[in-house]
Amino acid sequence: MPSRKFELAKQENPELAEVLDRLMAYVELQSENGEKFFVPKLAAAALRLNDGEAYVLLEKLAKAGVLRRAFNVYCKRTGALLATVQTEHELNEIPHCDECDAHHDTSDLRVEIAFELSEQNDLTRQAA
Amino acid sequence: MTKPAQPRRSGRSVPQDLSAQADDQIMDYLRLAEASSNEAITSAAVELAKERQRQHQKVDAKISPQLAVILATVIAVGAASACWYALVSHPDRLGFELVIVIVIIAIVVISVYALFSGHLSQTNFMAVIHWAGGCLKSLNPLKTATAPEITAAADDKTPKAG
Repeated sequence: MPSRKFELAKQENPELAEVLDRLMAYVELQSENGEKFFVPKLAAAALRLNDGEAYVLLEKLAKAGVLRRAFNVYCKRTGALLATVQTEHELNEIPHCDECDAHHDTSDLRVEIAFELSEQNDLTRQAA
Repeated sequence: MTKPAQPRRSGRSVPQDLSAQADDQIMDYLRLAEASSNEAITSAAVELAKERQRQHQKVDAKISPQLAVILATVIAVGAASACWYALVSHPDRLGFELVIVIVIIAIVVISVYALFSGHLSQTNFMAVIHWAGGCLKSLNPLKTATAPEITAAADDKTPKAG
C-alpha cells in the first residue's frame, strides 16, 4: 500500500510519477521476497533504466523519507558483508573482518551504495 | 612451515579510502543520469550533484562559518576606516583610487575566508581574483598613457626639420 510519503514524493515530482510508481512496485516486490537492500544496478535492470536514472529515483524516494541510503562494505576476498553504515564518515570506521580474521586495508574492501526501507516504513509494513 | 615471501608490489597506487570510493560511485551514477533522455531525471541529477558539491564544501571547510563571519566583519570595518582615512588625508583623485584599492583588497580577503569556510567554490574564488586583477590593472597609472599618446608626445618634443 503506497505510503503518504510516497504520495508526497509523486506530487513533488509529477513528471516522474509514472516511473516512481514502477520503482515503488519493484521495491515492494523485493521487500516481500525478503530483500533488505535495493541496489541501483539491479533496480535499473528490472525497470529498464540506466544505473544513474535508477539511482536518482531511489534518491528521490530517500529524500521523501520512503527509503534510506546506506553503504554496504564487503570484504573483496570473501565477499562477506562486513558493515552497513548510513553516512560516508562512518565508512572509515569499518570493523574487523571475521571471515579473514584481519583488519583489512581499504583496498581490500568494496563499497556498494544501496537503499533500504526507512525505519518508519519498515514498522508500518511489519504491523500490516 | 614458513610462508613464501610475498613479491613487493612496486608502483602500487595509494589505496583510496572508502568514502572516496563511495563518492566516486555516486558521481558516476549522477553522470549517467545527466545523460538520461528523461529531462526530469537529468535536472534531478544536476540538482543532486550541486547539493553534493555544497555538502563537500561545508565538510572540507578549514574554518568555521562563525569565525569567517567575524573575520569578514573585522575586515569590512577596517576597510571602511581605511577608506575614510584615505579620503580625508589625500587629495580627491588619489583618495578615490586608494578607496578602490582598499575595497578590492577587502573583497579578496573576505573571499579567501569564504573559500576556507566552504561558502565559496574554487571556481567563484578564481572569478573574484580575475575580477580584482582586472580592476587593479585599470588603475595602473602607467597604463593611462597609452602607446599612441606616448608616440604623439615624443613627436611633439622632437625638433621638426625644415
